[in-house]
Amino acid sequence: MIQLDHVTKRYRGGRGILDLSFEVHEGEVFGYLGPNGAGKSTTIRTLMGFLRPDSGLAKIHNRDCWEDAAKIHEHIGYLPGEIGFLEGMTGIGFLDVIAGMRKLSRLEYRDELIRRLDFDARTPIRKMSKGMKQKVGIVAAFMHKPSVLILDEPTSGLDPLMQQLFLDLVLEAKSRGATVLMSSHVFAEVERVCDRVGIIRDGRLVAVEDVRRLRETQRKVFTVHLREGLQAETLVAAGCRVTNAQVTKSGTNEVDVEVQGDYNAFVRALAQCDVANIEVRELNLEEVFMHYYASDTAHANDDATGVSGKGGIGE
Amino acid sequence: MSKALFRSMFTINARAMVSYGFGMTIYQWLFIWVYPTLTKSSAMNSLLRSMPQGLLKVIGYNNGIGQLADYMAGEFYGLIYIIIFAIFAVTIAGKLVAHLVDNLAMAYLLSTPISRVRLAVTQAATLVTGTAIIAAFCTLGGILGARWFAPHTHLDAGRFIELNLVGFLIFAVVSAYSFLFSCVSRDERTALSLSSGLTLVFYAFNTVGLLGTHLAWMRRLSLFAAYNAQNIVHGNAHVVLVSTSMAAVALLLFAAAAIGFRRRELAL
Repeated sequence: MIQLDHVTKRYRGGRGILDLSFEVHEGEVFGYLGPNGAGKSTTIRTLMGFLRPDSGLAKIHNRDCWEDAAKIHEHIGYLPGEIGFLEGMTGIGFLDVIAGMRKLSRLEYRDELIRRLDFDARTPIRKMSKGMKQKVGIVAAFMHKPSVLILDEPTSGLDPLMQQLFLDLVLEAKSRGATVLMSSHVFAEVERVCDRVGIIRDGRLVAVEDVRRLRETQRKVFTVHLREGLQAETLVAAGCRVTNAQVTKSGTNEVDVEVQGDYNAFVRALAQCDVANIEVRELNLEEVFMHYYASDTAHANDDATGVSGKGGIGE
Repeated sequence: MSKALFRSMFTINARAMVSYGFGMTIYQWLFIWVYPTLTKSSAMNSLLRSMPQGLLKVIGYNNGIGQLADYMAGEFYGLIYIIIFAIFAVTIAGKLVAHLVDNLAMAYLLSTPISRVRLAVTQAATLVTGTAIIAAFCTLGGILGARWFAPHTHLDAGRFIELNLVGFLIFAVVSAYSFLFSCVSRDERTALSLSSGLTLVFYAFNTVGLLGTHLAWMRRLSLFAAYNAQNIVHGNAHVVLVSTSMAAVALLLFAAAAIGFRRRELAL
């Protein structure tokens, strides 16, 4: 449905995207994550036909995003990362213009969205708060029930209640069969609605992961309090994935160990240590992906944490 | 062309169109209102007679002020009209594309099934409509003003309409190159600098070119040389030729703008 095939788009400053390939399947919600400046917006602008790739091909509905932009836009709902409106208009006036340009005659869903998002659309846009403008943007993106939604950081500016409602709207669109590409910084929302996530860093796709599978094979983190510092090395030597080690105020050594499946090895390693306490928690998606966000030093830790982008790119 | 977009763009810019049009009409009326007093004063005519021909040309009085149309051509259409109309064309052209790209509203307009070319054509249509409205204000304003404020003088309505028609087409060209800059410049400020810069150069070349025969070549480089108000009111201008060529140039420039906008990359 949405395809990027070896797309490269470089800006003069060197930023941009490099040889990017991935596909979002029909009916799928794809989370697009990455630090600021990684190339998320460049990807989205390329998909919207605002930028022409230096090389490679971006396609939606099997049409070239640059050449056939207008044709593709019939089926697209787009929420930009930074919203600008026509000046001197009310929210409803603006929505009317967009509906008119789309030749949208049935406005029931638009009105339903305005009601559910609970805002006064007759307010002049210049008097609107950031959250309210975001709501106008959401209505403009969803009102024609598009088959493809491209959403750039859609929940920014929304209060927690409205963030929930927005995620419900995404899930409703998905249940209608819509394909969604959604960039985000909020892991909790990605975890809730996305089927797969792609991580981009420095213009390159570093991983594509299946969210359900990640959840199923969720690692657990054991925080082990050791009475002697050197024993942390014992754990590492025994093959445990030590993600964090620090000395607490009380003088004990706190070591975070990620365990996935092989508990026996972990227990055997622990048996060699003087353990003061053990806490256990599940790793959330944020921690799973945080090392992709960090700088190059994170690469060096990939092996230690055992979370790598292997498998799944372009799947 | 998108009707919905045209309607909203027209509504957004209608206030500017009407205020400029009305402002220019008021200006015209002031000039017409003092005209009867001026003709009665022989001092004014003898003053004009005493001035060198070159200077009279520059200020647009080479035919004296014996007739209202001469006076209007020199006093209003030679200077104020050009300046105000140019400011209107340059700013509205900037607002219709470059400004919308700058403030990111263009992202929304382009996320609809309206192609960039259609969008550019719609915005160009809004601009030309605005230019026509200003021209209509000036035409009607002048004719009504002459009737109300200088009832005992004669104004050749046909020639006066020709004067305004050519004026409209000249400013359709100013609008068109301003629109081209608006479509291809990286931001609104650049677009405004380029279009106002070029307009000023045209104006300066026209004015300097009138000062002496050795400078006449400069006029040939100026768009405003095609707008010889005095000749039009005296029926000495090639109105049809000038009008058709201006219309053709404006169309070409608008087409270039649409193509430029289609090809450019937008960081929206």
